[in-house]
Amino acid sequence: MRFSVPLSVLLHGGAVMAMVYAGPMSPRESLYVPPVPIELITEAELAELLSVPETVKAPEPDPAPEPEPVVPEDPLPEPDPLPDVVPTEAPVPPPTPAPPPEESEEVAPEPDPAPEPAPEPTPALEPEPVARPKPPETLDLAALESALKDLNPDAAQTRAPTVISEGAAQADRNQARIGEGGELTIREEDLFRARMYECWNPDLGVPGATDLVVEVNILLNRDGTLIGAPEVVNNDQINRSGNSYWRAARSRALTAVEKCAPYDFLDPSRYNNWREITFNFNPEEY
Amino acid sequence: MLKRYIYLQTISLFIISFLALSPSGVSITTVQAQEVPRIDITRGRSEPMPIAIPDFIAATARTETLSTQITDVIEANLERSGLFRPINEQAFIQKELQSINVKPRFVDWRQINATVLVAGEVTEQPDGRVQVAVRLWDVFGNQQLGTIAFKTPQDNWRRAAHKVSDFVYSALTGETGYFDTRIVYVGETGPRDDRTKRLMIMDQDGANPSILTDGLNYDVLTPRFSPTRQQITYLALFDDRPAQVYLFNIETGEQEALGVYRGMTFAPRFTPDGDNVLLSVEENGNADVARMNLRTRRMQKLTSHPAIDTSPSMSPAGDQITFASDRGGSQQIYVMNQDGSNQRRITFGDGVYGTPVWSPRGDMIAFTRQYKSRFYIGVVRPDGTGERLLTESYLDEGPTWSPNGRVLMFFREDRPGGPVSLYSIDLTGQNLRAVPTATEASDPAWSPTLN
Repeated sequence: MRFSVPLSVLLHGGAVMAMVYAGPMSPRESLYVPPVPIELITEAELAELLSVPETVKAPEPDPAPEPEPVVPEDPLPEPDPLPDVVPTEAPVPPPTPAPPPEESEEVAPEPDPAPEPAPEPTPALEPEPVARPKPPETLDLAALESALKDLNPDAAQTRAPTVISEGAAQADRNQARIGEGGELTIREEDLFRARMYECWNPDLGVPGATDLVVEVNILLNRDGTLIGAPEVVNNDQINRSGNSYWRAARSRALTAVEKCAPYDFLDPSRYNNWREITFNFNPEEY
Repeated sequence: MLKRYIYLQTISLFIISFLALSPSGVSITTVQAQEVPRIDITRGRSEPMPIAIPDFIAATARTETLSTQITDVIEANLERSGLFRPINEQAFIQKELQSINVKPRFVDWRQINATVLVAGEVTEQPDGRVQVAVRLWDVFGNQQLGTIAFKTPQDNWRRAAHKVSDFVYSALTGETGYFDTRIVYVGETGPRDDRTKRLMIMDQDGANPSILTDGLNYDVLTPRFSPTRQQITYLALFDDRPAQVYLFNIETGEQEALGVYRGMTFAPRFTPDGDNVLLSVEENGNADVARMNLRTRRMQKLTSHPAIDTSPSMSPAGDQITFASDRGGSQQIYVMNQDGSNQRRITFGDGVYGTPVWSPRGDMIAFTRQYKSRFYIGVVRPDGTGERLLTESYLDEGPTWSPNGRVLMFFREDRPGGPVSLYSIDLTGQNLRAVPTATEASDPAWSPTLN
């Protein structure tokens, strides 16, 4: 009881202080202000505003089904193609393991600080580069071929043949087919799933989330690093659908595959079995 | 001669065998290609996407302040959506971006696990306005995802920040953003038995709160935004006469009763084209759903059932209407064609269902459900399947959809007599957030995206 008076003083004082600092409980009595307009700068305008001129590239036949704004595409003049910009349809990576993408990334800055008038190979303003396969960097036969294929999206997905290392080819010829080439053990599948669980971040709140299946095909080096860019097997289907959620899902699947690399948890002696994998991203209902 | 023949034979054999060898290599791969192991990935870690948003590049002191403010608003927006996790700038390895036109060092951003990088620039224009330009980089794909730029008066920077947030959100989720929007709600002040209820408006993030109606001789309930105009419809609750549906022009402050009836009109909601208001009309103790054309002021009854039919809400396609009715005993959710035909019940759970609201995306109907003195907000597909409850408390009411149909806002009283306040939740049931308001608040209504 004898503490009640000081306690009361303390509590009341605290309450008064709180009221002073918290301020009056009424909203700011401001008047309604209608929204001030905001001006969207068009792609073309912005392109002009950019301080760095775009490198102009020789016109290349690009009869892609999706009409893109007429802007030069990703004019990176690269002397040697990096593994991560190798066109999907690129011919045959060498049988020896390509340098891991991480390392080559570090080498990449090389073309950047060119002291030329066109210093920065800025990628062109592309509204939705996700919406289509990576454009080939140079005008070559492979590019032409892939462009032609785009004209016929229903054609079966073909992929440039990959040279198998000699040993693998031999093994295929000499050994019994059972258990050889392209069969994973349950454990290997589980390892892939566990790894992918960490890397894949599906957005389950979009409409029809469980229908937005994305198939991604990857080629692996013996050390588990990716050979080239992952290929979206149902790319044409996604493009044709015009479904922006599906395109976002594709983007997330590709990120997952890149993020999970290197796939260094696999037994190199079974390289034949896991050097090419197709992931079928197919989210469950939440 | 013979020697030469043998020689040729050898060569051709050699060539043939060489030719035979190389295509055989190809054919083996083709066989293999058909046997590529497929791994079904059905589960991932659905979590906020890590995103790096360094302070936008600014050349002058003034734009530097502005750029910090803009990036703060963008970060807060994206974080609040529950779909993104902005990375603390302390963790950044590449501290300075010289220009948004230079490719960032992707390795540096990959190392801190940023999935995307938002690089922006704020520059002053000769006319005194500012330009905000942004590039979005896919860190793991080493490529640009998109770019956008705005020009706006300096003190309108918040809207520019919201526009950029919308751009980022839309590029990464595939749906339109909802950050450049406003919320109308009922601000409540005073003691329980003598409440003052005023119509308030604020930005979606709680900024710029202001009063829309003041000093009225009636209370304002259930405000609903027009999907096409700066217009609101609400229920005016009088002391001395039946409640009436009103129209309110936000820009002029003009108010008008929507028709004059002997009975009561209530539960108004605009149709998606903004040309009609669906509402409930009460006559002789029976309520039916009706449509009022705002141009002709003609009213057309859509239901005529001795039970109480109320809370109509039209599908975004305009072909169907959902409403609540107690014709089956307890109040449940129904769907009918827009002309009132083909009325069918879609919910069959225990308790009382009410306030159905059709998602702007069309795929879901939100509702409130009361069961054993608890309230729930849930969603159900228009065909009645997939019912899910997202929230629960002593009182959860008044769900309103974000214009992209991804988020629901509602109001909550978490204990009897407790304060009422606004909350939002993601359609997946994740990310429940309190929406801060200066006073107690109820009946939120989400605006369409501003132009």
